[in-house]
Amino acid sequence: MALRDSIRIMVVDDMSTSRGLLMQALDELGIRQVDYAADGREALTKLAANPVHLVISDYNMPQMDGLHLLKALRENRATSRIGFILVTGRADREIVETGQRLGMNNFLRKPFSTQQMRACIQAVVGAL
Amino acid sequence: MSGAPDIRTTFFQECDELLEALNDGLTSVQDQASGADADPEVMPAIFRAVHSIKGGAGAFGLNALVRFAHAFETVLDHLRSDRLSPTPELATLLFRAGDKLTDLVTAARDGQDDPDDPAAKALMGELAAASGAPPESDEDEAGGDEDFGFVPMGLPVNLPGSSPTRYRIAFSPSRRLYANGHDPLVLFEALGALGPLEVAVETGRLPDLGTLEPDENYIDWRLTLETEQGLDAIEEVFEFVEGLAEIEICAEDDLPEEEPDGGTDDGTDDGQDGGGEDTAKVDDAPPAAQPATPVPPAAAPAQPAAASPAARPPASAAAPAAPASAPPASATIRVDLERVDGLINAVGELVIHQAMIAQKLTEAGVAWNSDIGAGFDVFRNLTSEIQERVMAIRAQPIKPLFQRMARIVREAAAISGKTAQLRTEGEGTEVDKTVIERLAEPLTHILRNAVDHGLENAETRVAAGKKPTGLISLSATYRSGRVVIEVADDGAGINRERVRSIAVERGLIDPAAELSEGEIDKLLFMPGFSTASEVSDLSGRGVGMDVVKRAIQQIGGRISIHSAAGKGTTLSISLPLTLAVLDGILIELCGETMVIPITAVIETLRPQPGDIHAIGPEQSVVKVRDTVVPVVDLGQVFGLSGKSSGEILLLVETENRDRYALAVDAIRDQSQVVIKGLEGNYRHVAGISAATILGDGRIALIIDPEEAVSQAVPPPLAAAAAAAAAAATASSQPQAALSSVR
Amino acid sequence: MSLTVLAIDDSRTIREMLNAALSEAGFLVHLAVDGQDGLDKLGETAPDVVITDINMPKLDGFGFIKGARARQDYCAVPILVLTTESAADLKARARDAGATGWIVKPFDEMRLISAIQRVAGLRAAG
Repeated sequence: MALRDSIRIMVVDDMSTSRGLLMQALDELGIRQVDYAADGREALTKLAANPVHLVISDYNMPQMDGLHLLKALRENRATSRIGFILVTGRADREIVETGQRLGMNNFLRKPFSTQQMRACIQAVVGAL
Repeated sequence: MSGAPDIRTTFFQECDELLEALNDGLTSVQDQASGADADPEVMPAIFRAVHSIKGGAGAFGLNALVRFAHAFETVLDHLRSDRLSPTPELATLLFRAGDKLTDLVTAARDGQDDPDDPAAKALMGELAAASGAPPESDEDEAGGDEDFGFVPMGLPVNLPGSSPTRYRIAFSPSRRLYANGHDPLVLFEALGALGPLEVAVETGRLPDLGTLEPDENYIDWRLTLETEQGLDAIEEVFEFVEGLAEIEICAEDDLPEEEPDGGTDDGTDDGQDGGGEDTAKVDDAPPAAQPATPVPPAAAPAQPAAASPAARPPASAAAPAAPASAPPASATIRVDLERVDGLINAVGELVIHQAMIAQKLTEAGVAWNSDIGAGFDVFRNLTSEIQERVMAIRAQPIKPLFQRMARIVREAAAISGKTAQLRTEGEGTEVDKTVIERLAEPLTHILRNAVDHGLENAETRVAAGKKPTGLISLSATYRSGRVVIEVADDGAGINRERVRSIAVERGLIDPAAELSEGEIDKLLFMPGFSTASEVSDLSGRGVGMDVVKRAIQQIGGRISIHSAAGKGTTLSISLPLTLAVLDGILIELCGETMVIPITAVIETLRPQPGDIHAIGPEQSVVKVRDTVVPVVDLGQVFGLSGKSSGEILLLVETENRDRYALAVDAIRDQSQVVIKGLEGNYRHVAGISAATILGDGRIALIIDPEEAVSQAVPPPLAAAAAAAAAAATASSQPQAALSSVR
Repeated sequence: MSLTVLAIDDSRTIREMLNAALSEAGFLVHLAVDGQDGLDKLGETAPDVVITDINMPKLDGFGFIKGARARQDYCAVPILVLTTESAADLKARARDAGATGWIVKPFDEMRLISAIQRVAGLRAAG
């Protein structure tokens, strides 16, 4: 059984269109088990009930941005080892460096192609 | 880390100092630029000033400050290493940068950390130009492929549904691994934390004895680790030893999902490898440079794999039938000390209020056998149970401290050229965490002393019919509500003649003073006393046993010494189990209620009129059975109005085993009191160690008998008292319990 | 638990941070202000682990490591250096100088403790 069949991923983005783009790309990669949340708080609530292997989250979100979500995940023992990919529209060294310090696994620049997303995910979890 | 507010304050204070040093340094650079001689110390100092500001700013997440300091530092680094030489123009630029740095620090102090400050950006450009580097690219315009050096991190898969993977690890340390302070066992322990680990030694590289290099490592290790964590977690364990060892990690395919217990305990092939091995070499290439080896989370098996029992922790081995889907119940949780202390404080308040309620009930005439009375009784019992249990949280086994002492003894023996062995006993004895922490230093000193001064060298020992290796025993036991720690050596014992002559030499005692053996031993605790004729490398350092004694007293402990010639010396330290409560005697003194620690009181006396003898205008003694004891008027010590009636005398013994009779008016009660620090609220008061709140809500001071006595009896008077006592007791009392050295 | 750490840094801020974080985690902490002070304090503090900054006055971190490794009683004590992320070659230099491991600045408490555990063993678990 390939990894793409068993891996569970959560997409976190407040904009329904960009969330849709992320989920569509995952679908094209053959990943079936995809959950989503519209902001960091909802993501944390959903993850507590249904853990996933990997979170792909937008950076720019109201209330709780992607890095704060990452921090919250890493601070909770139950979610500390969930993979985390940050999606960002801005090429900002500070964001990347902060993410790195907080333990993000990879980051994806917007706009992205499905192939770029595949490479980004595979760098974290291995061949899909 | 975000840093506590007080550290933030320190940071900005330090910034001020560093900026001042920077400005001083820049002035020198300016002089240098106009032809003055270069001071080699200046450039490194300037660089460090800016570097330190950058370091602190990084810790507080002040990114704008960090980036500016970084640009600044780069130029200074070039100057420091002579890649740039100071010109008047450069000096001016540095001054401007120094001013900007000052502004940025000030802004950061006010909560401003603006990364887009145009002036700062412009200056950073100039600094970059000066250091010959292209200005830092503005990220918003940077190419889309810019990855800022980010290296993707493989996912350590340990989520529900993943099954353990078995890794085979070949680990061949070089000798440099040991030289850099690494210990393979520590690595194995870290691996063991990831999952069951089997360790095998390979000695195949061991050469013939003739060609063996004594400090080369010939031992290789073959490890088998079963873990749900990814390769990342394993590589992380080896991060620090990269380049110091050959490491090869092979992941086998998923373990069989069902496996009877004991089926793999020999750790041999399970017939599945060969087909699906992933190998990652972490030898020279950085591990992150290659894609992380995937450990696919397999579909959740109905029954998770049973792991090899050989390396399982005992808890699981004892219960192999436990459903593995539930993680093994952890026996401990980690709790912030702050929370525990908060709890202890709250319990302290609870105890106080319980005492208040008890008093109110009594005042209201509630009968103890009434419903309320009986209910209160249960409440009281529960309170003391809660208190005991909460205190127990802070209690920790003394073992780690003892283990460190073994090392102290080894090192001390190595330096002094003696052979010594430490035997420990009672390592499971539990003591308050703070007490343990604050015991470390005095105990270290005591053990060094024991090796350095207590033990003889091997030849002397053999000549005296002892084994060449000196034995030092360190033990901990509970004794009447306290913990007693004893350090005993089997050395020569205290050389009393020498101690005495040194004490005379240093003017600590009168040459004519007649001292008992015990009194001579006590001289060791006198401030400034040190028997080492020259300050030895080991226990010298100007720290004497008086410092040790004070450190022990500060944690509510007492120390005493006993020695037998030729047989050795024993130091006993008696410590309270906790620093939060104290069993005390409530006394009345000139209308005040005060508390005396019960542990200090040997007995209470009701003197008869003829028992007390005046030996001077302010001094009197009381005869207690065979000995004569000075009477201390506590009312006078604390400057209370009037004298205490002296109807009751409390016989106390100090750490030096000196006895005194404290005169008080009455004894009110005996009870456990919650210690409230006084110094935090007021200041240190001589003779008072702390305060407590009584059942009626009043505050009572807790007396430190030893200090109170020392306030009352200055040394010359004590000597007079001793002389008088000696006269009073005539020749029938060879062991007057008085010390003429106090 | 109750391991002794000697932390050497010329910055008072960093010293206080190390002290706060390590004390909080249950270590016995001793502080030194530069490499020379660190060497002077090795004997009296008998550390189980040493953490040292690199860039310091009088004697820098490399000098400290060299001095400590030359002492028979401390040749094998784990020594962690504090390095900044930007200086990757510092890690190699630290290793060549005899450091046991490194802590990347800015550090957080978790990194600090985990680095100590990695060189001193899990008994260092605060």
